[in-house]
Order: sequence, then C-alpha cells, then structure tokens
Amino acid sequence: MGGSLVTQRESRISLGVYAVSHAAVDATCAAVFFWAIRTGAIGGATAVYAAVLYNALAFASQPILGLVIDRIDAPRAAGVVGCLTTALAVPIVLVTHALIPALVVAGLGNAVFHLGGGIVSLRHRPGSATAPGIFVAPGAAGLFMGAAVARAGGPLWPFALTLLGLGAGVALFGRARPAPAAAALAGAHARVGGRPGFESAILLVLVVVGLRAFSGGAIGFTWKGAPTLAIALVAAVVLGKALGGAVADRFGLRAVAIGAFLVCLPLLLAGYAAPVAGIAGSLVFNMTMPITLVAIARPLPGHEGFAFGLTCLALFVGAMPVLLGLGVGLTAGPLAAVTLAGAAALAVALTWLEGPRAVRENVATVTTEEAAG
Amino acid sequence: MRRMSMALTGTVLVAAVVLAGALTARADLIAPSQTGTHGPQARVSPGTSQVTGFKLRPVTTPPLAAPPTPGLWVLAAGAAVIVAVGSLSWLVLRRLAATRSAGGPP
Repeated sequence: MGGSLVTQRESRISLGVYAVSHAAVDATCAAVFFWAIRTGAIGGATAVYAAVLYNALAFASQPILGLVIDRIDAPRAAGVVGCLTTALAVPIVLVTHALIPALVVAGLGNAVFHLGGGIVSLRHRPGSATAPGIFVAPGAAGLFMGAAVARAGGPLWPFALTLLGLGAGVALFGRARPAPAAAALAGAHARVGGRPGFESAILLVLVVVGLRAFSGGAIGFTWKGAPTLAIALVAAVVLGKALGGAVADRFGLRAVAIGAFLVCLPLLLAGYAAPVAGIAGSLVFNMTMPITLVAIARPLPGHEGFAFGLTCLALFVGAMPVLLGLGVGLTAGPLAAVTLAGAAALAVALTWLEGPRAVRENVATVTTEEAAG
Repeated sequence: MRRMSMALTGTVLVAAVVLAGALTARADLIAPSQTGTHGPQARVSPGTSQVTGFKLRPVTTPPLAAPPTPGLWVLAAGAAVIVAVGSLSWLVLRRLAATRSAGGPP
C-alpha cells in the first residue's frame, strides 16, 4: 500500500496534500459540532457529552487504530477513508439533524485520517521533526475556521465537497514511503527501544503532551475573545508547530524542547496583560509539539501509527479536564508550575530516548544519506 | 500477536459499550432540545408576588437544582476509555521493548 518507489519529491507533494487535508478535516469536524450548537440541536450539558464522545473517538482510539493501520501498512487508504468518512458527517447532520451519529462518524474519520497523514509525515524523512510539524500545524487553523464559519451561520456543504476533492487528492498523491525502509533508516534509534526503562521514558513524554494539552486549553487569557487577537493567536499556534520541527532538526530535539519551555514561560506570564507577549509565548510553546511526537516515533520505527496515536491519547487525557470545565482560566502560578514540570520531565525523557552520542550521530548520518538519495 | 489483536479488539468494544452506556443513561440530555438550551435556569413564579414597602416585587424561586454533575458520567466514561486504551498501549510498548532487548526485529 505504501509503495516502494516513492521519491523525495513525491513524498513532499504527498505531505503537502495531507497538510491541506488536515486543515479541511479538522474544519469539517468543528463546523459540524458548532453548527449543531448554533441551530440548537445541542446545548449546555449535552454539548459536553458530545464533545467528550467526539474527542474519545477522534483521539483516544488512535493507538489501537494506529496499530491496525501499521499492521496492514495502509496509510494512504487511511487518508482517503478518513477524508470520505469525515465528509459523510455533513449530510448526516444536515439531513437528520442527529448530531451524535454525525459526531461518531466525524470522530472516527478524523482519527483514521490523522493516522494516515501522521504515518506519511513520520516516514517522509525518518527521525526528522520537520515533516510532522508541517503536517500537524494546519489543524489548528482548520478548527478555528470551521468553528468560525459555523458560528457565523455559514453553510456546511462546502466542507463536505472540499473533503471529497481532497480525498481524491490523497488517493492520487498521498503516497507514503515504505515502512521497511523507514525501519532500516531509523534502526539506530530502534536500539534505544531495547534499553531498560524505554517505555517509562515514552510515558514521561506522553505526560508532557498531556500537561501541554491541559495548559494550552485552560490558559486564561481574557483577550482571546477579540477576533483579531484570536486570529493572531491561531496563526502563532500554526507557525509554532510548523517551525518547531525544523528548528529541532537544526539544533536538536532536547535543546529546542527545553529552550522553548523556558522561553515561553515568561512570555505566557506576561501574556495575561499583554496580548503580544501571549501570542509570542503561544508560538514558542507550540514548537514543542512536533518534538514530542518525533521523540516517541523515533524509537518505534515501523510503528509510526501507534506512536502518533499515543500522543493523541495523551492529548485526550490532558484535554478531558478542560472539556469538563475543570481548571479553565488557568492563572499564572499553576501555569508556571505546569510549564516547568513539563520542561523537567521532557529533559529527563529526551536524555534517555536520544541515547548516547553514537546513536544520535548514526541517525544523523543515515538521515543525511537518505536525504541525499 | 493474534492474541494481542483479539485483546485490543475486545478492549475497544468494552470501551465503546461503556461510553455508549454512559451516554444512553443520560439520553434525556442527548435528545434534541426544543428550546436550544439545557441546564439550570432561574424561573419567575407568576402570581406569587409579595408586597415589600411600596413596590410589588415578583418572588423568584431559587435556580433549579443543577442536574447530576455532567462531569461525573462523562468523567467515568472518559476514564474508562483512557484506562482501557492506555493499559493496552502500555502492554504493546512493553512487548516492543522486550522484543528489542532480545534482539528481535524493530
């Protein structure tokens, strides 16, 4: 399914198609949800139930679905099925006004699509964080756009049509580099998987992902409601995720991750009073996202879907309190504590997962050779 | 690996049943709203006013008691999903680590 002769150029095109589709898939899911709220199909506590149900399907199911997609090695099929399934949620909700079935379909479609795109991005240049950063970044823009259109009373059907077109694009161009080659290229990191405590280090990274999801959702910037500032904030999140991977590839995962946490803290604290600082802090804060993803995927070559799914499960764990309204409006003290704890935990975990210098250099050599080829 | 796959499938089914059960138990909240709103609302009881000084002031009943904390049911369902998927993911991770320690394929 993955295809054995995928050139670097084809892989780049594939990555671009998946990145655009990512925004569209997330936009559609958000649009369906907020359309239901605007039309009164759900509200109050029901919205909380619906949000948890959707997120459980879209995120918490991913480790298991990822294992299945890894096993059958079908990332492109997953991408296509994900686009089409998510698109199906639109006619369901428009025709029947039944949100729960629509959210079930959208959640599963979203999960399957993310796994397809995640695998493609992680195999693009194994061990590198640039491609995963590019793939994940547009999601935030899609969510914002979908919610904004639905809240403003915009139509839903263009989302479905767009996804149908992008599904065709994924079918035509969404080729993944083959898993065996990826496994061979990341072989040096696979050795880390045999070190004692490897799974504990992975767990520690996942804790950081959860903490980041919690603090990102609960942070109490009172100015977030202003449209212009909200758009700037979303742009910063997108840019941070996209840049984080490239910067980490240049300077190293550990240095950039710890540096980003330490730099973003004063900016976020200042952001309570000064929106510009908060926006800059959010940009730096989100740079850690592709880093944690790659830190988990590197020692699990051949299991990219599972690795991607683990981070999404952690995302769900961190988002649950926010979905239930717990801890919303996070003040400066707890925010500082969470951020510093995240930095410390990530430092320990990455030190372990990155392994000795020999392993890092081996991977760097292999990655360079692969890029040249 | 076959047993692992069966265990994974079983867990997904159990988690789905737990989640569906929790949602069904609160079907009253899932049904489409006629008013577009749910949750506690302050109500003014008509015709039960009392004279206070020179003004006639309507008596407002206290806000309706909140429905059972929405978080509790959802938290239970969400926690069940997290524990189920998390436990199995942990088992898979340990298995992968053990395979590699033994010099098996990555």
